[in-house]
Amino acid sequence: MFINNKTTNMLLGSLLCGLALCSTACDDNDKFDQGEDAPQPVWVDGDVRVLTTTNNRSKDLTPSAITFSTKDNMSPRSIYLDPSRQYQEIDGFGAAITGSTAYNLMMMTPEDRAAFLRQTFSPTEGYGMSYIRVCIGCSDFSLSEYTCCDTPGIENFALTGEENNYVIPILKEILAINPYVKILASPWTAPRWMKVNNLNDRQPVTAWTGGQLNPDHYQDYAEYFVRWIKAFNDKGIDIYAVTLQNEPLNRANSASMFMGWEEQRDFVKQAVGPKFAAAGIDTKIYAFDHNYNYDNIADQQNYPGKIYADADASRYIAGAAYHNYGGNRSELNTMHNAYPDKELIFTESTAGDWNDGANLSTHLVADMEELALGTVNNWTRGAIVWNLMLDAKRGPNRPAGCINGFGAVDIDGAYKNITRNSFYYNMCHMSAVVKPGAHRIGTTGYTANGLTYAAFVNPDGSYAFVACNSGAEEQKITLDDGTHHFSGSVPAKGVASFIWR
Amino acid sequence: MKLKYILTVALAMPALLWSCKDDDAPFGNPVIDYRDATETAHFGDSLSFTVNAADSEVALSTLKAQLYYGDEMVEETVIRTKESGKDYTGKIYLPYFANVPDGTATLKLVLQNINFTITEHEYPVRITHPDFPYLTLRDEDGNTYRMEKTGADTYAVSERFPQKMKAYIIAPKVGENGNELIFGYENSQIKIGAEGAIPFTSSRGGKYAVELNTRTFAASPFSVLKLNGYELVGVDDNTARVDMTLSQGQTITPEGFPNFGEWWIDTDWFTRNDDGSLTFNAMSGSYRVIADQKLQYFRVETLLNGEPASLQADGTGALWVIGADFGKPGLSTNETGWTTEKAVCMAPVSSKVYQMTLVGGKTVNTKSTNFKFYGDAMSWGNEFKHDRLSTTSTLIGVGDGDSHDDGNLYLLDGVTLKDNVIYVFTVDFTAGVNNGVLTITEAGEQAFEEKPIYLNGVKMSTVDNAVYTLVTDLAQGTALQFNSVDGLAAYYFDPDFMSYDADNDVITFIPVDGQYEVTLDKLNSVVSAQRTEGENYATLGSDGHGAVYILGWGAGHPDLNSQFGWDTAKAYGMAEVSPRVYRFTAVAGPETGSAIGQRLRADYMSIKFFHQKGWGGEFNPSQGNGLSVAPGSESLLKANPDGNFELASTLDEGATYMLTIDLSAGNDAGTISLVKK
Repeated sequence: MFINNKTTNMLLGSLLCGLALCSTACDDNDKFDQGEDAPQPVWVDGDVRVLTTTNNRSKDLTPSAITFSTKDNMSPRSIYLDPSRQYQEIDGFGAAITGSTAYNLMMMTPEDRAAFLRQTFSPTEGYGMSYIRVCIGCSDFSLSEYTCCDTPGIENFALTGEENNYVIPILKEILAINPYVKILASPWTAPRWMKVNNLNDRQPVTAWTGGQLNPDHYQDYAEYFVRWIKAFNDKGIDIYAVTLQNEPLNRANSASMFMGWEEQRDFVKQAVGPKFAAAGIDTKIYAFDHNYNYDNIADQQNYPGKIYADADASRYIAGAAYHNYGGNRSELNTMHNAYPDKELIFTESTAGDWNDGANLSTHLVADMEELALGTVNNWTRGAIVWNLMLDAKRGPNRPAGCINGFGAVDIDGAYKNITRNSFYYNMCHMSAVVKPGAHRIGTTGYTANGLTYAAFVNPDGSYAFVACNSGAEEQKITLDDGTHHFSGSVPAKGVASFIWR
Repeated sequence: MKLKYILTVALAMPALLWSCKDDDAPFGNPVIDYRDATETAHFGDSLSFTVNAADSEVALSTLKAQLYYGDEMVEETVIRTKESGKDYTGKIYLPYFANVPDGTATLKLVLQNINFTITEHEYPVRITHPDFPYLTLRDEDGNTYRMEKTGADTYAVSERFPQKMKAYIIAPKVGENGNELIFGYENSQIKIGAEGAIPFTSSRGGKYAVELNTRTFAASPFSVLKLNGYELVGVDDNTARVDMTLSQGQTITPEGFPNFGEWWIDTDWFTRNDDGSLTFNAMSGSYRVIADQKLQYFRVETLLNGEPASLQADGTGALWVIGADFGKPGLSTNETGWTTEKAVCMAPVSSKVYQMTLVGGKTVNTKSTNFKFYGDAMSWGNEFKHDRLSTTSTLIGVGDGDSHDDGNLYLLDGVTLKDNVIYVFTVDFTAGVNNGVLTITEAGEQAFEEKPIYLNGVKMSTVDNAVYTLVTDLAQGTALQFNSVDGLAAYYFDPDFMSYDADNDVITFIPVDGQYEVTLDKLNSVVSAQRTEGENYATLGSDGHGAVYILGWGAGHPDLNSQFGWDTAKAYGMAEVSPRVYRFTAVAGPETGSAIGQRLRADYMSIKFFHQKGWGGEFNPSQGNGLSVAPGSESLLKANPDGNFELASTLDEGATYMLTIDLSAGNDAGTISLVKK
């Protein structure tokens, strides 16, 4: 068993032991030994399928089932779903397959990796993660600093070993499990020969960090995007969306490039937009891809909105992507209200030593409130957290980048035992029940301090409901879709996901 | 017929446990006989039940009555059952929650003996909402008001209540098993049995209605405060707050703030606009805006990651001021003092530069200053002493710890600040947080100016501080609220355009919906209105709607000293009080020396009616559209062939007359009446 979850195993063991004791007269326990290496069953059949997690892992994506009530619904804790009030469509939930994540996954045995990926991405046997972020070239979680065109001249474009040996094989393995996974791609830097120190001096830069895109290379860099997308297409991997620059206001990091809103506006309308159109690429383009507070830079406030104001640029832009390393998620709501026709997507958050990020007891519900439910309740079409898997040394990472972060899961030095962190639970609780193409819908009825929730209708007509409870007491709720109702609960300091038809 | 749905549960686990016992104690057989089963009840009732409990083998332990709404147990009563075969009687309360529909609940009786053998019986109970004949509103002073039923489940009482009123609502006992129910307030929700009183808030004082729906528990009025559509969350009775991302220059529209025209606006953060909105003045970023309804001002705090910001190592973030001799919105009303919770957040006006504006005698003491700067949000942390803060001000010094406390600001020898002079305190950290520079500049004098007047929150225009006007859309029955007008009760309100209920301080707009120019004349204490269309005065439409104007002698506004004559600029639009019906109500008075409201001469009249405020279309028999004197008015009014109307007899001076033109039958078939009220 490669899942390293002592509490779960202890409880499971206790439960199995208890069941075995209860059935000693008629059975032996061989089948439980046999089950040790098989993926845990994700669902228990019933009218309503439920997954529950608590911050002490006493429930660890624990499946259960509920039967529809046959009684009159008179519960004072009724939450009524209102599918007539539909909000944004959902693209998915997931994590980034960085070079480091792909490397770690490749270091696992094929059997263990297959089991983990199936459990994580399978919509039928697993938690159905549905959205992945990958890097165009290197990031701060790569095996080296590189782009796919480090030799000057766009004709020198080529995928590198990091893509060919790690990222692409993993993506293909995931897509074989779940062909409906969407992929969003972002560059950390343009090839260095396309960068200059600033737009006034336009001196060449040799550093991976900082610099700005030389307007003289707008067309080359747009061609770089086109070639990168086509190269992945050639490998059978469709790129659903791109952002034009990861964290465009961040001049630091192991690899980065500053791209103010005026640059991004000009780049998209003069180069990327037309190039995509000419190449027949329908990959979505999201603007910005950085913090809610625009890093407190006065002239970069409302970064996406300033690009939308230019119709020639706006027509190529699907919406804006955000991270939560600064500012408040209310900015999502502000942006939606200001630009209701533009999409919103959450593309990065990570936990680390700086915020006691491996402490599930404090993070599970807080992250659900801030990230999983906090973004989707503020109009995002989905959320993607940073590295899906890091190793015991928080890497592989780049020395000048983030060196003390955690993955959604962390794997030990033997590439065997996995520890699930808060972000994994966050994304799984969403993706397991909220399917791509779902719509967030309205609710009325019971609310309580500490209880946060969202409801959805899936494309197949099933309903999904995800709730978290920061309180110290279990929250009993009754969910009523107008046809069926049932009573469930959200554990203290826990999360529960429900799906029913 | 008694309903008995029997579900006897012999649980396996007690059996297993029992099988392990050494003494082979018997299970026993608890038997429930539910007598006098009640099939129907109301929410809020206490349901009586009588159960004969028996076990011929094992002594009984307890009888539990459990009430389930759907699958959720909402109430339980436990009775000790010491004797077998005895009748046990109890009551169980049927909880009354908001938004729970009528339905069939389940009463579960659970009888258990001392060996843990259990028998359960379930009984359906149909529960419906009680139909209260009335409710009683009881305020915190003990005053009670009867709330009458106004519709299904809805009750209301309209009285002259204070703008803020805490009260309970009491429902009388209904039915034999009913209870008196008290609606209170808990966790921002109305609940039966809650200890807190319901904090009703109206957008204005005077007469207003308090309403409650006993099914949904929806009640009103609750004044909802919003900024740009974002609802402020109540902090306590007087303050509410909202966290917002604000951009420099952004317009902020307040909603629901009573008397907002009288609020003090902190110019470090906002500029008040003529339309009642605010413009944000500080740097773009995240802020907490706290509305203090008692002091009537907005306190603003810079946020970082959702919490009040502290000064960062690079000089960004926020700078706080604590100490004596200053306070916003006024030194006398809210001196900051040495209380960290009241620390004033300075407005970031550019990167690493913070500003606080104070006015001599109003927000800062002119004789003494004694406050200082802190980097940590609302705490004593990161204190700025003279080693990190310098100034070259000729007014104020930074204490060096010798003659003045270190870091505290003090007036230099011989200096006093001037009353009404605006002092802008700026701290600049662009040279680093250890090299702060304090400057104090005079920014002129706060000019004396008349308080603006707002009609329903919108600023009225004025050119001479005496006559204020506002063109606005008004609906029939709308309440008109003027801010900053003293002695409004003594004003004359054009009786065809608005009624003033002096007892309840309520002004109600009378005419049909439309655009009107409302005029408040402070000099003469008169409020009147005229129908408008865009930027022009309204005209009479072919459909009979719009305005009809009076010209001529013997009529005037607001008194006969201002007779209309034949000056088209003085033509006065009659109010369309109902569709196509126009009215001019006046007290009859003398030609000279008339009082306000005496708008028709008692002894003479020669007036004519026009389709516009000027020459052109008119009601004239020679043009085929003369007005016919309505039956009953011939004794007072006579028509001349040229369309002029004169008195047929003198009017009673001091009596009120209504002059009405009815175009219901068409503009060419109008009637005119003059009736003494």
